[in-house]
Amino acid sequence: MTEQEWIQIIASFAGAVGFALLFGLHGWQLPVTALGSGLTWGLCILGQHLGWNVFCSVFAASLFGSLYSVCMSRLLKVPKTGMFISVLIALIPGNGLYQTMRYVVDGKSDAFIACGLETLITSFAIASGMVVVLVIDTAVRRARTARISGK
Amino acid sequence: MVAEREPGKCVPEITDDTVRLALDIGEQILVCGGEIGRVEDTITRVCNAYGAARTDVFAIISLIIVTVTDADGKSFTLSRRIFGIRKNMRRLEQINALSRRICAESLPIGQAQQLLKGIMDERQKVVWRVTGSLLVGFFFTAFFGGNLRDCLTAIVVSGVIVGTQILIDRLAFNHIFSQLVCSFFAGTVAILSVKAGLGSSVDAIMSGCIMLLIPGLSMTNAVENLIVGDTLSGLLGFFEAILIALVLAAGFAISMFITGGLL
Repeated sequence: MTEQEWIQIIASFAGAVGFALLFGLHGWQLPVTALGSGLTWGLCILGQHLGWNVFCSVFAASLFGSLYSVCMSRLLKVPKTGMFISVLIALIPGNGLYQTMRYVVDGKSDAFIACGLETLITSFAIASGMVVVLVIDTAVRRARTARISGK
Repeated sequence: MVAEREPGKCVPEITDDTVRLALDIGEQILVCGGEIGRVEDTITRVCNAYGAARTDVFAIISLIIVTVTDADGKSFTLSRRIFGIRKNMRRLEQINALSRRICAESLPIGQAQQLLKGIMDERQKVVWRVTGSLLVGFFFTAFFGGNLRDCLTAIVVSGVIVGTQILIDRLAFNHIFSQLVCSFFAGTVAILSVKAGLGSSVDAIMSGCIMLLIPGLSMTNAVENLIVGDTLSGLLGFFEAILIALVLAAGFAISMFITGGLL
């Protein structure tokens, strides 16, 4: 692993704390969120090293991050929204969005399309990972509610 | 019919006040960044805890309508227009705990109102918001390949962003306008500071600071609303998120034109 990749993992760890503070998370939720974010980005880098394409590596990382935040928010009994976004934050293509916009301003149409497409694919991969976990989560919750009210 | 009052125990009774309390709780959940499903579920549970025979709730991200029918068949309908989301997970957590408590203990309505007011009076500490923003700016600039000087410049830029956000929140402008102004200021400060020799890479600084403005929470909520079947709210939230991202890009683009482009 290169030096920049280590910096990225540390930065995603600490950056997630920033986001967690911004959304008003507190106490134990902070280190838990930071750990989740660091692991999520680590997984994404691992995927890239294994030669997976952007979609697959981001999808795998998003799947892991979503699962982690759903489990942890259940465990710590907090609403999952804030933890979700703080854990997945490193995957969000901030750089892609910026570059895409920069190519528009510079008038480089080809680069704009390529970069915009990659940003879209990344966003789509994040959303897909979330969707899978949320569908399972919703099903589990409904099954549990049905069982309780059935008694 | 007057039920006998036990001391300290609430008499389940549906009045305008009960419905208003449920609506207040629902409104706060929505405003703090909760999902539509959570809003509807909580309002239903609170009304049922106070003895509603039937509760019909409809919520989208800008409106909540509740009709509660009590055991005698009398109906109460109230609606609430929602302007703007101000995400605050701590308050969301507290309100969630309050609604659980109301359902479990059937708190007297006066006490529940007081507890809600207590939660509402507790303001999010500005110091955490600022610290969070500066951390995000610093570390995400490093994340996108900035050197130490860029990261320190990013602290200044994210300071400008969070300062503008707090100021505009006080002036109560709409969210889209706030986003445009923030991204414009951030872009201008980033470009000027690099021109002045403070930072070295506008790209890294901007990419890092853009993370503060990305509509991540709206997007997450939109996806979640879509999945659980609140299609309308999901679509509204989704379009809002896209609009915010476009406005963000526009703000940066304007700052590039005004400062005479990048180095």
